[in-house]
Amino acid sequence: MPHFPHPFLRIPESKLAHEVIDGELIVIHFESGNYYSFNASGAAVWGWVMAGATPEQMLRAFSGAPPEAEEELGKFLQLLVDGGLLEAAPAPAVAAPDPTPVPWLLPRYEKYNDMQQLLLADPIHEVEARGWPHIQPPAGA
Amino acid sequence: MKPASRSAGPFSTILDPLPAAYFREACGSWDAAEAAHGISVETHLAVAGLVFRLRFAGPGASEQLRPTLAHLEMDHRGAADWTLDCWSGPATGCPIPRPTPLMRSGIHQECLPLFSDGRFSVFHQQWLGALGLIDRQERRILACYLEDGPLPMYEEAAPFRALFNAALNTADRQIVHAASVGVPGGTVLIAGAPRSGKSTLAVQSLIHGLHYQSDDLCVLSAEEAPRTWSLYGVAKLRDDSLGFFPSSLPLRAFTEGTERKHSFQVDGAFPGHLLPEAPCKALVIPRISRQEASRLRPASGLEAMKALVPWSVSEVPAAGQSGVRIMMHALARIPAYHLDLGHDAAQAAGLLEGLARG
Repeated sequence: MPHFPHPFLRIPESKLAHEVIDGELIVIHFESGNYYSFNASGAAVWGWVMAGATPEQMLRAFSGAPPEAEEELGKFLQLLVDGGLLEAAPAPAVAAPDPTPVPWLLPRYEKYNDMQQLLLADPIHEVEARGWPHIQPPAGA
Repeated sequence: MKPASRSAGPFSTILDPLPAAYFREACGSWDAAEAAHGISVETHLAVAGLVFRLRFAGPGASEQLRPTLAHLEMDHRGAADWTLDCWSGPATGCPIPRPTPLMRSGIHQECLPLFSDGRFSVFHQQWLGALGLIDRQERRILACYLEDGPLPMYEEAAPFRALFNAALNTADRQIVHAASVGVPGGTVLIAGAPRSGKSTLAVQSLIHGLHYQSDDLCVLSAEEAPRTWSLYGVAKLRDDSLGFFPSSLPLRAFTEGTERKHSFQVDGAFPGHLLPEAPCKALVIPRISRQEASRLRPASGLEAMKALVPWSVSEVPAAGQSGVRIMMHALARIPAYHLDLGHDAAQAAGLLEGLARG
């Protein structure tokens, strides 16, 4: 049975902007001003997190995964958590369906910090992605 | 919240949160200016699909700012989406008290955090001598100029940008640092670092028959089919690019920082060629090349993001997290290209027209 430190994960939407642009997942982290470009496998993991899949489901969704895939996926997820791109989440009320399988490829991202000063966005308007007046709920709410 | 009288001060009452109290005091300054001098100009503007009621009290800024906004003026008798009240503190004798260093603590992108929250924002453009306040709930904006005398040309050419942007963000629209040209059925955003050729390409395209929205600031929406809007009806050219343009352009010289520039009103020089709104069909990143012919090459998502988002955050005060999300949303829905610029401006304009026609 695979073991991952965080059984459920989510994207801290209030701290990020993320979009797939021309097939490339790009994530901007507001607090650090860093931005990230994910490879196809990393983007698949990101999409699965958005869909509520567990790390175990993600591992099963990689077809042809080698024995080290569990460790590599775990390291990748932990990197995302450590970087503030993902956070631990409570168990959902309804389990997510299994993701559509994709071929195994080492999930990776490239991190960039060359535009930190330009990208450090206004910390005042702590609103949800829907915009004002949907004020961001307190952490943990 | 109905604005209270001028006697509501000082702003730091212990009963009111600071942002609300400061906004109320600023309303008092406006009320005093209006009572003493009356409304000198009242008009309505169509700004990226929203209606702004614009009022000026007393003498001052209206003569300078109206020409830049004239193409947005509209006949409107119903309720406006926003009210923007503008006055000159010195000219009316009713200024908003100038922020102290303590009040400016933690200032970020010209926004005073001590006086801003999810509902209110205060922008202090110290370099300009302007204070802007916004109440997103009441949809009210106050713009007070704090210095005597004429406004600098860079404000005349792009007034209220932080305030317009903060209001537009509530409707999922963002002022972006990009030129925009096209045809009535579609536009192309021209993005990139300052001095990458955006203004020159936009005005060259205008001369070669395309419609024009902006040479540096326009509005972009976050929709499934993103749109762009013209915001300021002025084009600006650098001194060293004048040789590429006809001498018949009705130019006005001004200095921006240390750089000498020239501006002209687009509607006056090219009647009917200022394009109010159109679907955005593509983004291009221009680059001067040594090739004879211009050519388009696909740009990656990362390149498109780097060409548009950081510069817009930098150039548009109040382009906060909402603005970044709006731009990213739009970028995910339009193709991006590098445009290697050759010697033939007409051919480059033709490439842009092809993209705009989709």
